Amino acid sequence: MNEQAFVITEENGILILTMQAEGNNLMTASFFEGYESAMAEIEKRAAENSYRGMIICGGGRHFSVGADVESLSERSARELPELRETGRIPDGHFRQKHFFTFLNGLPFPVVSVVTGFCIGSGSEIAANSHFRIVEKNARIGQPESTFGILPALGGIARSIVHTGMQNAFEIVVSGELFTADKAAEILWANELVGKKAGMARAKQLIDFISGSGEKFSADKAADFYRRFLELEAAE
Amino acid sequence: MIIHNKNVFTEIKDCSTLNELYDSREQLNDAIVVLVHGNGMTDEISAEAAEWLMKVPFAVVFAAEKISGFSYEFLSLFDVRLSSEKYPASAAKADERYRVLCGDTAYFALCSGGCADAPNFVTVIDGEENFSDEASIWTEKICGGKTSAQLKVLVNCLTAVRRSGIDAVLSAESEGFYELMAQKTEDKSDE
Repeated sequence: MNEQAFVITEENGILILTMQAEGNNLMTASFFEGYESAMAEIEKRAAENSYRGMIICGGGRHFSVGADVESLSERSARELPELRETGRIPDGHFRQKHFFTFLNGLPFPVVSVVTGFCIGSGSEIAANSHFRIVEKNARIGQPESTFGILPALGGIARSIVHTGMQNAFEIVVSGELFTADKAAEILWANELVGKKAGMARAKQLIDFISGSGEKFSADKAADFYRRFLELEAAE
Repeated sequence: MIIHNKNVFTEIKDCSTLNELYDSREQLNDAIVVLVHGNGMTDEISAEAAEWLMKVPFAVVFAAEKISGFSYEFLSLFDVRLSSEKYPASAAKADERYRVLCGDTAYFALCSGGCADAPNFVTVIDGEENFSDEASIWTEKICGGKTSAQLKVLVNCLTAVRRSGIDAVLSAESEGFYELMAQKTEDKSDE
């Protein structure tokens, strides 16, 4: 993997994580290594308490095409003997899962700007973010069930939080990809925007939230977005 | 009442009330996904039957061509609702159950008022020709291509939210993932 696969920059108090790993952010073993190291850095910086928000985006056309099923199978094959012996889920899984789910607990808004393919574990990065601004060309989904497995990095839980049991059932069990329009219809997307408009929109949202003077938390995220849209409509 | 065990889900037809289904609950011991056809059904339900439905380990889909005649309390007992029409916001309640069923954005939209229809409460399917058939096709399409064992694990993760909330779903995902990975590895070694 190239050294610049995960680039963290800062702009006016906003952390920006750009993922630009090989194969449209195909999640191979080396992707996960780089991702976990970038997220460890973000977790460290977040503790400084000096940021207004964070944006996650893909550096190319796609957010992420998801996990490489072959490397996932290889990893699991290595882990299974330990699981059988101890009856415990390997620590490596919880470490990996932490670097997805901790995003939801950050004290500032985390926005994923979703472009192109946002699939499998890639969609779990977006789902664990507080907000998803989806550009028109996107295709999203959790196809794990079609490979005989399931999304285990917060994908099922966050699908319920964002779209309700009503839609999570369809997303998770069918494993079918869905369009950006459908993402907006079932409220997986907080907003659907035109091509290349996501980043500017994410910054506007963070400005709105930090300007509100209210303490941000994950359970109020959807209400913040509602008020953000409402205020704009009123203006 | 007819209980029809199909390949990947169980279909309930000609059921007059859910109390009737509750009385036959032993026949659903092996069910993973249950589709209840609600045309002709009333929303009368005993407290015992309602409590049972909230605890069942299987996912429950309710399908009724005209859904607006059913009460919110009755409809919110199901995990998924299918209809040919949306449900009026004025008949829904912005409670915690609505938040779980429809998601955070839908919940806050309903809380704030101004919605004509209850967001995400119903999946509208086109069933002009034969609504019941369309509901069966929809369910079969969602569940198809999975083994019973896999479907059971997937449904267990989703229904964990009914039993113990989102943290339980996060735990169930991890356990379910390794259970399915182990199954896949066993299947491969059997080949």
